[in-house]
Amino acid sequence: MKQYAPKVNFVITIIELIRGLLVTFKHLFMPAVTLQYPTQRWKVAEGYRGLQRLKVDEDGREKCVGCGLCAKYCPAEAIKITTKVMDTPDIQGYDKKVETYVIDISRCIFCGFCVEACPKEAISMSKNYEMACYNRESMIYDLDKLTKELEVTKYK
Amino acid sequence: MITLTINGKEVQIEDGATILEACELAGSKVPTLCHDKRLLPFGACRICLVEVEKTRTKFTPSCSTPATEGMVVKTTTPEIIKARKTILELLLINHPLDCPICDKAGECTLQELVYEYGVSENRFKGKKLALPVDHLSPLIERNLSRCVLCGKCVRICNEVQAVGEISFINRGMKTYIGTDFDRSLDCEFCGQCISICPVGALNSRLFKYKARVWDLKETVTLCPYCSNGCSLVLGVKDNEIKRINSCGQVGINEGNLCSKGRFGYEFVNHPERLKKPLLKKDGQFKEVTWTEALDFVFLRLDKIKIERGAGSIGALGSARLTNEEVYLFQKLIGQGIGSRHFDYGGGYSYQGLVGLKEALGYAASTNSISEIRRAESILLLRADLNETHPNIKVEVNLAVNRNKAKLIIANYRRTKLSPQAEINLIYKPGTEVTLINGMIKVIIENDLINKSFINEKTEGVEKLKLLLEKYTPTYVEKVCKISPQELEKAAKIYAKTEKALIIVATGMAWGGNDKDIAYAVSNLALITGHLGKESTGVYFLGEKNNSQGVLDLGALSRFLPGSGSVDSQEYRALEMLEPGRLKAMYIVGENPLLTYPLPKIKEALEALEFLIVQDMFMTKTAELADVVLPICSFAEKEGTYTNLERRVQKLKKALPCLGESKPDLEIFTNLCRRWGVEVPQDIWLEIVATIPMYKEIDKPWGGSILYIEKDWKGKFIAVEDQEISFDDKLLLVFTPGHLYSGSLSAWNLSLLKVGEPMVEINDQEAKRFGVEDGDEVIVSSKKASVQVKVKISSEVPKYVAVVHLYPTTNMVCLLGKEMMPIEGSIKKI
Repeated sequence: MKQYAPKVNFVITIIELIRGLLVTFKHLFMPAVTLQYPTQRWKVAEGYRGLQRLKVDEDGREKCVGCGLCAKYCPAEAIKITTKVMDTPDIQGYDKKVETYVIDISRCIFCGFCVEACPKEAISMSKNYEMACYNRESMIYDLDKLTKELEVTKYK
Repeated sequence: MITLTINGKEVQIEDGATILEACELAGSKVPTLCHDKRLLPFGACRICLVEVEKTRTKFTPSCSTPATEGMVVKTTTPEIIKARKTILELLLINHPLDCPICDKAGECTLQELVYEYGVSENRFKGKKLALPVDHLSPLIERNLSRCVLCGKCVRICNEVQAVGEISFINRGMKTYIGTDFDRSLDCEFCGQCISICPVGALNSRLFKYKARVWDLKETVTLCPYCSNGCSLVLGVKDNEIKRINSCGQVGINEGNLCSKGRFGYEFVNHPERLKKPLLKKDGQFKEVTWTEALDFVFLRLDKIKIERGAGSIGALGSARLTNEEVYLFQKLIGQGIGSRHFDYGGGYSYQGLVGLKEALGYAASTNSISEIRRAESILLLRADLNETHPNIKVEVNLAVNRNKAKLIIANYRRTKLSPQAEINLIYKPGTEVTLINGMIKVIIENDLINKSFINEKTEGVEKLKLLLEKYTPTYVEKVCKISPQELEKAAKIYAKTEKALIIVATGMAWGGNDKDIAYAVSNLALITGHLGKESTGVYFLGEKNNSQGVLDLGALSRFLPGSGSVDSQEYRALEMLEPGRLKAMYIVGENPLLTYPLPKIKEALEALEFLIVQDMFMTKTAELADVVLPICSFAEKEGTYTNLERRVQKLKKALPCLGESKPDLEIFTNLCRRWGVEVPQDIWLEIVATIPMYKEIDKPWGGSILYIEKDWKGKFIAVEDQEISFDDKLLLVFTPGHLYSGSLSAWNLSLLKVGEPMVEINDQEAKRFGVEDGDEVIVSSKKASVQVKVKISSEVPKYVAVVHLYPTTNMVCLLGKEMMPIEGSIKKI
C-alpha cells in the first residue's frame, strides 16, 4: 500500500507556530492575574460574610445581652450560649450577663442568619476569611477570640 | 344540655358552662390572658371578646358569660381583631421591651399574641411606669413593670392556695401587684404564681437566666416528695435539671405544685452525691469498682448467713423505693438470703393503714383525691396539710371555699389552715382515740347513726356501744380538754352531712397510736355510713411518695419464709436495731441514725459486724457502714409509684445516672442472681401476676371508691387510748417541719432558708420556764435531749411544746420507741 503523506507547506507550519507563540508572547507584557497570596490579599466586597465579631460599645462592654436568638436561629447549631445573673445590676437595672459564648467555626456555614436575628445588632460578620488551623480545638471560638482584634500575619 | 352555634358549627354543652368552654369544644381557639381552668372567671383582660348575635353590647367576654340556648357566636371578625390589637397596644404602653433578657420568652402569652395579631407599631405613646424589681424575696422574683394586671397570681394565691400573700394595690394606671406595705414575700413559696403568670412578671430565682425555654428537653415524671403523686415536668439541658414546671394536661394535680415539688430539685445535681461505690479499708472509705463492691457484699453476707444463720441479717427499705425495687428487695431478703427481718419507716409509719385493713379490708385510703373538693364536711385529724401534703390542702380549701364544706380541724395546735375551719378542736396531745370515741358517743346519743348501713354492712356494733358507755362529753372534756359544746357541734356536723370524709396524716412526727386511731376513725365512718360513696370515707395520708406501694408490695410480704404473721413485733425495725440483735444489716435509702427514735441507735449500728448502706448521699448512717453503694435519683430511673389514692403511676427517666450510680433495681437484680433467685425481664408483669390488686397503670387499684360491693362487711373494733393521764405537765410533741427527715430536702440549699430547729411554746409556758423568744434552750424528756431555739406563738395551747423537726440532729429520740407525746421540760442555756 502506498503511504499517504499529506503535502505540508513547511512555511505555513512555521507561520502558524509563530502566530501561536505571539499570543503567548503578548501575555508576557500583560499584567499578571495571579494574586501573590499571602503577600498580596484580595479586597473582598462590602457585606462579605467572614468570621463573626461581637461588637463592643463605648464603655468596653459587649452589646450582647444573651437573648439566645442567634443560637436558636443558627441552621447548623454552631452557637452555644450560657448566661448567668450578675451580682449587681448595671446602670439600666439589667443583670443578665453572658457567661460563655461559643461559636464552633467548623460547624458554621457563614450564612449570616445570626446577624439577622440579633435584636441588639451585637454581632456582625467581618471580612476575615483566614481561619485555617492545625487542630479541631482551635476551631471553637469563645468570647475572647470573638471580641479581640484579629491578628493577621503580614508577609513581606 | 344546651345547643349553640360557634362559627357556624353546632355544639352541645351542659348548662352553666361559659361561651369560652363551648368554643373550646367546637375547636375554635379564643385567646385569653386572665383565664385559667382552676380559677373562677375574672374578665380582666378583655382579649377573649367574641361577637354574639342579638345582644345589646357589641362584644361579649366569653370567659365570664354563660352560654345560653340558641346563641350564635362568631369568634373572629375584622372588628374583633381590631379590638384585640388595640388591647395589646394598650398593654404594650407600659410593658418594657425586655424579651431578650426575660426568662419567659418562648412561652410568653403576650409575646405570642402580639406576634399573632401583628402589632408592630404602637399608636399610643406614654411614659413607661418604671416600677422596681423585687430581688429580695427568696425563690421568687417579682418584676412589677412587666405585669399585665391579669390578676391570676392574686387569684390562685387566694382561691386555690388560701394564702392571699399578694393583691392589687392602687387603682387605674397606678395599679400594681404587691404585698401589704411592699415588704418582700413571706409565704409558703409554692411558686404557683410563677407558673400561672402569663408574662415574665413573676420568675423563679432558681431558674433565672440558666437556660432558654426552647433549649430545655421536657420530660413528664412524678414528684419524689409526698404521697400525693403529682406530675412534674422536668426541664433538662446538658444533663442537668434546670427547672421544674407544671402542666395542667398531665397527671392528677391539675398543674398545682408545692414548694418542695417545684423548687426541690437541687439535690439531683448536688456536688456531694456519691458517684462510685465505697469500701471501708482500714477505717477509710476507698473508691472501688462495682464488681469488687458487689462481690464483697455477696461473699460477706453469704458467709454470715452460713455461719450465723439467715436470721442474723436484717434489711431496712425505704418508702421512696419504686414498686419494682421494693418487690425485688424483699424477694432478695426473703428468698435469696432467707431472713424474716425486713421493714421500713421505723416500723410504725404504716401502722395506721394496717389498722384500716383490719377494720375495713384494705390497707389503703378508701376514696380518691379529686373527690375531696366535693365533700360537704371534712374532719381533719392530727394533720398539718400545709407542711405534709400541700396539694391535699388545696383540695380541702376548694371544698371549703367553692362547695361551702364545713371543716372540722382536730389538732393539738392551730395551723395555717385553722382560719378556714368551722370548728377548731384543740385537744390534748395523744388523746385522739378518746376524742373520736366521744364523737361517736354523741352521735349514738342523738340517734344520728345510720341504722340500715349498720345492719347490712357492719358487725360488732354492740361491743362498741358497751365500751363507749363511759365516753360522755364530760369525760372527754377531762381527758382531751375540749368543751362539750364543741364536741357535740363537731359530731353533729359530721353525722348530719351526707358527704363527710375523714383525713388523718401519718409521718415522722407521729406514729405511736396510729393503729388505734385507724380503728377509731373507721368506727366513726361505719357508724354514720360514710363509706362506699362519693366524697366520703377515710384517708390515711402516707408521708413519702411510695408509702402506699411499699406497703402493698413490701411490708406485708409474701416471700418471707416460715409461717406466722409477719406483723409480729420481733421483726419490726425498731426491734431489729436493738444493740446486738442482728449481725448484719442492709439499709437502703433510710437514715436511722437521724430519723429513728432509739437513743442507742449509734451503738446498735456500730455493734453490727457488717453494714451495707445504699444511698444517694453520705448520710450519718452511711459513715458507719462497711460498704456504701451509690444509687440514682428519681429523675434517673424508671419504675412505678403508687400514690395515696392507690393509683399506680409511671416514672420517666430524664437524665443519665450521675457518675457510676445505679438504680436500686440493677443492684438488687445483680445480688438476686448470685443467690439463685430468678429475676424476670419485666418485673411489672410478675407483680401483676402475683399481686391481685395491681392490674393497671394510671388507675386507682380497687376502683376510685372502695367497699362498694354488696357483700362487703366492715368491722367495729372497740379501742381506747393506751395511757390516759389527767395531770397538767408539759407535753412534747412534734410538728413536721417543712423538710421532715431531710433525706432529699435538706440538700436543697434554697429550701433550707425556710425554717430552723425550734420549739414553739405559749407565752405562759415561756414565763414558766423563764425563756424568751429566740433563746437557745435544751428541750429534754426522760429519753433524750435536744438543743433548739424558742419561738413564742399563740397558736400553741398551754401545756404543749411543739418541736419542729429539722434534719441536723436526731430529734425523734425525744419521744422514744413509743412515739407518743411525752412529758418534757425546757431549760435555758
